[in-house]
This record gives sequence, C-alpha cells and structure tokens, in this order.
Amino acid sequence: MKRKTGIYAGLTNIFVAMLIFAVMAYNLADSYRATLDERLLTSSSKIVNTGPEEDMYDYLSAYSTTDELVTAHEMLNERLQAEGTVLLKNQDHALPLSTEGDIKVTLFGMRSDLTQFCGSIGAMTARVQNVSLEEALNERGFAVNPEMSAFYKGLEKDYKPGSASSASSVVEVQGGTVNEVPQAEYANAPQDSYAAYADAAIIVLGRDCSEARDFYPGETGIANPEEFEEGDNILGLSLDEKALISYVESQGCFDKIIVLINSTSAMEIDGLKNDENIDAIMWIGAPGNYGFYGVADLLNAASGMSPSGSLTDTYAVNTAKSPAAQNFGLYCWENYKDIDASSSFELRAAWYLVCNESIYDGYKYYETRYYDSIVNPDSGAASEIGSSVPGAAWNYDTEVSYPFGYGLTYTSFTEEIVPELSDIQIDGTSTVTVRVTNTGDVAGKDNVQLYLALPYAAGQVEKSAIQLVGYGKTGEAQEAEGFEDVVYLQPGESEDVTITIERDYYASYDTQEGDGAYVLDAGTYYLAVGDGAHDALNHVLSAQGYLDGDASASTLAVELAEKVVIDETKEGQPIQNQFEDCDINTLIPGTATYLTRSDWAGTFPQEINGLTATAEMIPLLKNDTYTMAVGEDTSEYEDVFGTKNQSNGVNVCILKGVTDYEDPAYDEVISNMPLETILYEICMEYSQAELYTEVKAGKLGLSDGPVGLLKPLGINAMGIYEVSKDDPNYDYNLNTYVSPPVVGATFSHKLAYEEGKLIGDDSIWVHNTWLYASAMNNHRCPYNGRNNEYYSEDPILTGYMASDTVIGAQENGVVCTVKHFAFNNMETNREGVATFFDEQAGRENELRGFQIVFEVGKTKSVMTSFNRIGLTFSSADEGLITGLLRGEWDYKGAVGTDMVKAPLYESWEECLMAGTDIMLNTSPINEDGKAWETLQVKYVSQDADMMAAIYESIHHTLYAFGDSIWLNGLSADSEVVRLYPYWEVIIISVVGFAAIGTVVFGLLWILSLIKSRKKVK
Amino acid sequence: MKKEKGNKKHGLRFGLSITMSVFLVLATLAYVIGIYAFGYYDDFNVLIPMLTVFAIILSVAVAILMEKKGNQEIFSLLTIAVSALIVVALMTLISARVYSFAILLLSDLEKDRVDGYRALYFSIGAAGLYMFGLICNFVAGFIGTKKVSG
Repeated sequence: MKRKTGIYAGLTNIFVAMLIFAVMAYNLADSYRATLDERLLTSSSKIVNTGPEEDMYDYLSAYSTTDELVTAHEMLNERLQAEGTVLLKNQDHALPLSTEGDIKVTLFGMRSDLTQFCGSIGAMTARVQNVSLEEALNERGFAVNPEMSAFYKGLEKDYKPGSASSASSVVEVQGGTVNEVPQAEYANAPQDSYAAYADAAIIVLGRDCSEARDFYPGETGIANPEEFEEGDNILGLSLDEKALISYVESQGCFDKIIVLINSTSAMEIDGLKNDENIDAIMWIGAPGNYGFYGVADLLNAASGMSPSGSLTDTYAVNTAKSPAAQNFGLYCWENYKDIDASSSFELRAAWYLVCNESIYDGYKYYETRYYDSIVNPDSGAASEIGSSVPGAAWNYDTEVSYPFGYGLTYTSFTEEIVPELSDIQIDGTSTVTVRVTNTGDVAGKDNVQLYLALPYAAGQVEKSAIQLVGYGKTGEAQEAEGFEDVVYLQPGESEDVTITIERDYYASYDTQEGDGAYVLDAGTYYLAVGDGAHDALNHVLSAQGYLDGDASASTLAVELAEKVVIDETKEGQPIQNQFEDCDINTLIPGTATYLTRSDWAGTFPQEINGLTATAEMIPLLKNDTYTMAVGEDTSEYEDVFGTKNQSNGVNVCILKGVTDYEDPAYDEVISNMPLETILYEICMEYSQAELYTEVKAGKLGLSDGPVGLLKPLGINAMGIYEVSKDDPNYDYNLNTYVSPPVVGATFSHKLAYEEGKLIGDDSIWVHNTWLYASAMNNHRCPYNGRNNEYYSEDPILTGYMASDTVIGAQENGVVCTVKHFAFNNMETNREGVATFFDEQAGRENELRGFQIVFEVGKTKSVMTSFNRIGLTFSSADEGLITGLLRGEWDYKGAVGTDMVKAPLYESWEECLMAGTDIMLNTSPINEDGKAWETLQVKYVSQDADMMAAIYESIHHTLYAFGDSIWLNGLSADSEVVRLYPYWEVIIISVVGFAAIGTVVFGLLWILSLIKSRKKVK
Repeated sequence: MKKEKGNKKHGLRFGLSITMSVFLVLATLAYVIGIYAFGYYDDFNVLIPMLTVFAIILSVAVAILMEKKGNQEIFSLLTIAVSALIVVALMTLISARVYSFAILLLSDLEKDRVDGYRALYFSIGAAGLYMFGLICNFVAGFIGTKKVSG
C-alpha cells in the first residue's frame, strides 16, 4: 500500500502540473488566436446563412474563377512593370533588341540570379511564384546562356546580395555590404559560352531594401571597406561591380551591353551613364512576381512595346551630398540614460533626428539650386558647399545623373500646353490640356508631367523653383475599363491629355502669416511640361529669358495680381500652425539653421549631433502625460454601450450602405456593443471582430500590405468564393505586385486605380476587409532602407498614386490603411526617434501626399508611424492627429497605430485622447506579460473624457468598416458559428486528459491514504 | 533496516530537492541575463523569480522536514504546490517571450540581431532549466513514503 500511495501521489503531482500548464497554454493560445489561425491556416468562426448568399454580398469580384483571378495578377503586374520600367540610356538606339529567331543573351551579376523581387515582411511577394529574369526572357523570345546562369547558381551560398543594415533600437549602427561576385571567381566562368549568347550582355546591379533597415552615407554605411574605393558610398558601385562591368566590356564578343538597375533606392550610376561601352541602362525597381515579363517585352522589339516610365527619384552623382543626407542616421541624446535607464529602451526615448534641409528634399533641392545658380548667383548656389567635386563650384551637371521624372522611350514625343483648352485658376482648381504628338517612328505611350514654378523673391516664404502639380498618360482616356486594353499613340498622331491641378497642393505654407496659413504670392506663375523636373525647369528658364530656346509651347505664364492668403480650408476648417514644437529651435534655441535659397552657402545643413534633452523636454519624452481620472460621473454613457451577452436585437448589418458619419445607425449598433469588448478590440486591432456576438459581427480580416495581401487564396477564400482543395490555384498567394516605386514610375492614374481594384477583388475572395496599404512616406533620402514600399521623393506623385489605389480598392469594399502617418522617413530607431522639422517643410513634403489621399482618395483608415513628432509619439501628437487630421482635414475614419512593441512608449491613454482609435497589437499580452492594465472597464468608466474618446473610437471605426467587405455575406439572419480549430482541440484534449488524470489519481491517492490509515489503526 | 531504507529515500529526496533548486536558480539567472541581453527580451517580470524562490524554499523545507519528521501527507501536497509554482513561473516566462520568439523566428525583421538571438537562447535555456527542475520535483513526488513507525 505504501508503494501505491507514493505512486498515486507522484502521478497526481504530474497531472496537476500538466493541468496548470495546459490551462495556461490555452489562455496564451487564445490570446494569440488570430495569429495562430493565420499562421496555421485555420479558422475559429464561420458564418452560417439561410437563403441565397449572393443576395448578401454588397461587394462582388469581377472574377468568377480562380483562373481568371490569377491571370489578372499576371497581366496587371506585367503591364505595371512594362509601364513603370524607366529607360535611362539608349545609346544609338541599342534597344529594343531584334534578331532573327531567339535573341541570345548572357546574364551577368549575382542579382541576375538572386534578384530583389520585393521588400521584406509586409511588402514581400510570394517567393514560390517569383518569375526570374532568366525564366521570363526564355519565355518571351530570348535564349539565355544556361551555363552562365548555372555559374551564378553555384555561387549563391557565398555571394548572397548584401542588404541595408538592421537599425532597430540601437545606439550604434553598422554599414551594409554589396557582396557582388569578385573577379577571382570568374576564372571558373564559362567564358567559352559567351560567343554563342552574344546578342547582348545583360548586367543586373542593385541594392536590397528592407523594413527595419537603412543605408548610411559615407564610411558609416560601408561594413567592408575593401568593397569600395575610399570616399565612395554604399549606394555607389562597389569595386567588384566596377570590375564586373570591365570584365564584360573586355570580352569584346557582346553586340550590346545593357545594365538593369534592380534597386528602389536611387543608386550612384554616373559612371555607367558616362561609359560609352554601356549601350543601355534600364531601371526596373523591384519587379514582384511577374514584372520580368514586362521587362522582357520591353527589351524585345518583336513585342512592339516602348518604355513609358519615368524616375520617381533624383539619381544624384553623390547621394551623400544632398542636404537631407547631412542628417540621416543615428543621433542619441547625450543624456539618454537619464531619460530612460532601462537597458531595453522601454521608453524608446534615446534618439532624435533634425531635418534642417527645409523643403529642399530630392529634386526640390537640385533643381532650385540649379535655378539659383543661373538666376541668383549671389545666393551662393554655385559655391563649393555641397559640391560632389571637392574644391569645385557646385554645378548641376556634376551633381545629377538623371533628374526626377526622367525617362526615355523608343520613339519621341512633343508636348505643348494648349491655352485655349485650359482653364487656369491659380487660386483654385485648374484644368490644363497638353497636346502630345508622337514624332518618332514607333508607337508608344507618353507620360505627361505638369510642373509649376512659383514666383519667389528674397524675404518670401521658401519655394522650390519647380514642383510637380499633376500628371497624365496618353491612351488612357481611350482605353476600355480594366487593364487589358492598351492604346498606343501611333507615329504622327496627336492626343490631348487633360490634367487637373489643385491650389491646395502647391500653395506655400507660411508659419508667420497670422497663426499660420498657406499663401500664394503675387507674381508670374509658370506652368511647364517636360521630360522630368529639370527639362520643365529649363523651359521655365527659357520662358524667363535666362536660357536660349523657344519655350512658348511648353510653358504657360499666368499672373496673380495680389497675394492670396488661405487660412481656412474649402470646407471651412481653420488652418493654423500645428507643429511649432517640432522645430528644435523652440526647445533648444539656436540648434538648427534651416536651409534657405537666399543663402545656400551660409545655411547648407550641418550635422546636428550631441544634443542634450533639456529638463523641460524629458517629461514629454517619457510619454506619461495623461492621468486617468478617478470617480468622475460617466452615467451619461450607461445606455450608450451594450451589455455583454445580452443583445438588444440591433444587428451590425444595418450599417450596410451607410456612409454618412452622422447617421444614427452607428449609435444604434454601438448601443449593442459591450464596452469590455470594445476595450479589448481597441488593444487588439479588431483582429477578433467576431467577438461582438451581440450584433452578430463576423470576421473582419486584415492583412499587409504594399505588394498585395499576404494571404494564400484557397485556405482563406470563403462564402460564395470558397475554393475547392482540388483547385489548381488553391495554394496561390495573392502578394504578387510590383513594388510601389514601379507603380509610381508609370505616372498612370489608371494603372494605380486598377491595382487597387484588383487588390479589392483579392480581398473579396478571401474576405479581407482591412488592408495595410498604401505606404506613402516620402523618399526624403535614398538611404531609407524602406523606400521600396513608398512611391517617390515627390508628395504629389505619392499622394495621387496612393489615392488612385485607395479609390480602386475602396470601390471593392476594402478599407485601405495608408501609412505611416507621418515622418517615418528612416528606419533607424524608428520606434521613438524624435523627429524635428520646420512646419513648412512638413506640410509641403511629407504631409502633402497624405493630405491628398485623405481629401482625394477618401481613405477611411490610417496607420500612424513609430516615430515621434517632435517629442511626442505620432499617435499621441495633438498637432498631427487632433489639430491637422481630425481638425483641419476633418477626417472621420479610423486611426490605428503601427505594431505596438513598447507599451510604455506607445501608451494607449495618450493616443486615444489625441484621436487615435486602435492600438495595433496581435495579442493583449505584451513583452512584460500583460496588456495595458488601465484598459479595463473598471478604470475607464471613472474618466468622462476617456469615455468620450472611447465612444469616438468605436464611432470612427464603425464609420470606416461599416460599409465594407466586413459585412459581405452577412444578413440580419446570419449566425456566426464558433469553430474549434485543431490546435484548440489538441489543447482542450490535453486539459481534459490532465483533469481526468488529476481526479483519478487524486482519488486513488486519497483512497490509498484512507486504507493505509485504517490498516495502521 | 527499514529505517535505513527510509533514510536513504529521504536522502535522495533531499538531493533531488537540491538539484531542483540548482536548476531553478540557473533558470532564473538565464531569464535575468536574457533580459539584459537586450532585444525584444526586455521588461523584468518580478513574478517569475518570486515564484521560483517560493518553489525552492518550499521544496527544501519539505525535504528538511521529511528528514526530521518523516513523511506525511502534507509533504506530498506541498510537493504538488512546488510543481504548480514552477509551472506558473515557466508559463509566465513563455507568455512574456512568445511574442518575441515570433518576431525573431517568423519574420526577417530581426534576423541579423545577434543580441536578439542571444536573448532568445537564454530564454529557451531558462525554460529548459525550469523543465529539468520540474522533472526533479516529479521524481521527488514519487519518493515520499508513508512512514510507519515502530
């Protein structure tokens, strides 16, 4: 009996431990339910309908079979790439290639094999579906040298392309590598095979971008100094890349040498431009799954296609010499350890960045300085400072290889503004008609870029010498709906392209005008067209008499007699300064000198390093600025929210078709939504909307990102779109799209819209309501490792590209979350970096693109950025969220954070009080093992202001999601049925097994004890 | 002879208790080092070492009392309590780290973070040591015998 007693006690011990373990594991798994379901391809709920389901769908896909959907992905992305590829150089009409039979080519460079197809994490295309350059060429009339391809495949392990550097929560940064194959390896290359594939050598060069990574200018950016010549930058060509070019050139057997630039960060390629042995250069960006088909077609004359893309960024000779590059990277407060003593930077308060280049980012710098070097030399525009040639005067020709907006075609076009068909209102909305004529020998498409030169005089607010105000593309007005129909402008033909431009998107912001206002100074405004910003500016200079040439057709001068001050929006919202505290000089006087075009030499940005946060700044950096009230009367909210598990009968489906924010239907639904569930969803990004059982809400469905939904088709398709496991496209992944800079380079409203539409179709199939796209931060600097997700250095192009995509997607019921609002212009310490800027620059560059997507695109959701706006977390910044977004722009949609990783920094109270609605968080359990403690009914119900903020939060959220895919397939009679995925069944089984074991062996133990006691007695 | 056998078992029980304590101390150390290795593995949760210390005290106390007073039912119950404390500490650690594991292992966001992986290994090590400690306590749970005096 003794023995048995011991065994029973021991077994009870084990089963009790197992039981506790299993119960805690269940709770843990439950808190990660959405993530587990997504990762394990399972589902925890299902909608059951009575009656014909088709009637319950407000949003239906244009594609009725998976084959149609997959074909649409292939066709659209091929076209996006064909129209987004930029021909930079085409010496002696080297392209397109043309021979009898297959065009025989040899591919060179490690990136010809290990191409960068996409970005990373949320911007990653499905690897298994990537069509390589070699595959695409072989399918489209080429024969690729297989021995050379095999040579590179054999080197994959040793020469995986390097990337930008990891840069999250660090106090020290490291440089990146290129890792191109060194020349020594070419001793083993199949040199004898070259002659048989010598119609062209195609060399692929590039730099890999990635989220949470950055490049850095100068020595800091280079991890391996042996890879570069002294003084070069990581975005310049490495020694091995230069040697590769020389190697190919030295073969002497190739008819043509073509370079493809596989990079979304502008590289330094002046050497290639000036190398006479390089016949052609094409920028291809990151081509996604199917983009190489488009590239192959452009290279092949037989396709009849011609490039029509233009650069979305300036290609500078030396990227480290731009004003923005002077302050890019890692800057720690000298006293950061006094601000946050934790080793893990839990307050994310150690870093800052001062953007002191004013409005002069990208082409706005290069072109304005160029203009001033001609028109106003006294400004110091031609001084040595910022020059790429040491000791030499600044000269545009030695600073810029290819300007913003530049791109060649296989034909030629003339563009002329037609005044009689234009209606110009400088202080309003204008329509400008541009007549395009194909003056070349082959058919093609022309993208028309319309620029504006504003009058500037010393003492006025800063102005770029030229700025993009609108764009259009030939053929699109005639093309049928969809993306299959392509209309080219034939040789000798003309077409009128009409572009609408809006005052609010080119007016200058003056912080000194009253409480702050947009202004249009009196003077002559020049509208100009051209092949890029530089060409357009030269036309303006000609029109002004500073350069020779007749610019009468390519410019249009318009007088504005009196200065116009715009201090309220068209909707009557007041415009006033919102970001005074973002000027570092208001916190630490005299810190920054902002660049002004009236004194280029005296104000060129200096690096701002070694700052010490003052005593007044430290409490703000610590984020804890709101204290929840205790004991306040919140009885007015008693009937506002619902009661858990007690439905009042109001069904969420009453929101179908409701689009007016003031509609009483929102209040009705909220009255049946329990506060505790709302709080849970606020901290859980609505990933489990089906928890609103009282209103019978179904699954919401959410996904990144900028290159399409990160979801496989078959497992996620549901309702009337359910896909059989036997379907050949069951495992098809929907993240296939070309990178956003390629979309931007199309300069096509139509194609951006079609991308949005197709993403919408994808979303309907897989019931994905919420899309984390478009990503639209400005390319402030080519060193931003995440430029692959953003469109351009220009906010107008960014704003309209995002707007068109959002319009297309939202027509199909997708709620697009544009991101990252705002100033997430570098990845280095993006969580918490205190970003300082002057308000004019902020409004005219980074924020202008967002303004367009809110006003034109009517996006219903936005994701804030990780960084600080000045000293405050973006989501909690009253200037950004309360003043600008909710106030001036009168935005009613949902505002969510980016992924919460530091709850003390991304503290929910401050965010909600500022107007943010949702904390993006895949689990209520954070790193410290608990959710935000105060986000509970017992706390919030004592704070009247917080209750009001929570009400606004759910109101905004329902407004965003009420009329969307969320309610597709639902009706008032629908039932949401709870499912038990296999992982849950396993855990529950373990809990049951452990419980039974505990009871059985516990009882046996007790019985044996009783028996042994009796025996003793 | 019977007493010798009983003493031997109690000696083994004591040894297991000490071994378990060593594992738990090492686990706590690994957890703390993991926190300071920096990365996503931050935020010290005082509950974990607290539970661990209680488990050690309880286990050693039981072993000592068994030496002195012989085995009693209460000691078996306390042994179960020790297991419960260890399991709760272990699961608290896992709960606090699972998000970090996911970020590190399932995305390439942190794939090159040497310090992140160092922290990950320390966390896995800590969890493993807790498991070893738990197993020791399981074995100890079988050793207790009802002492019949005389």
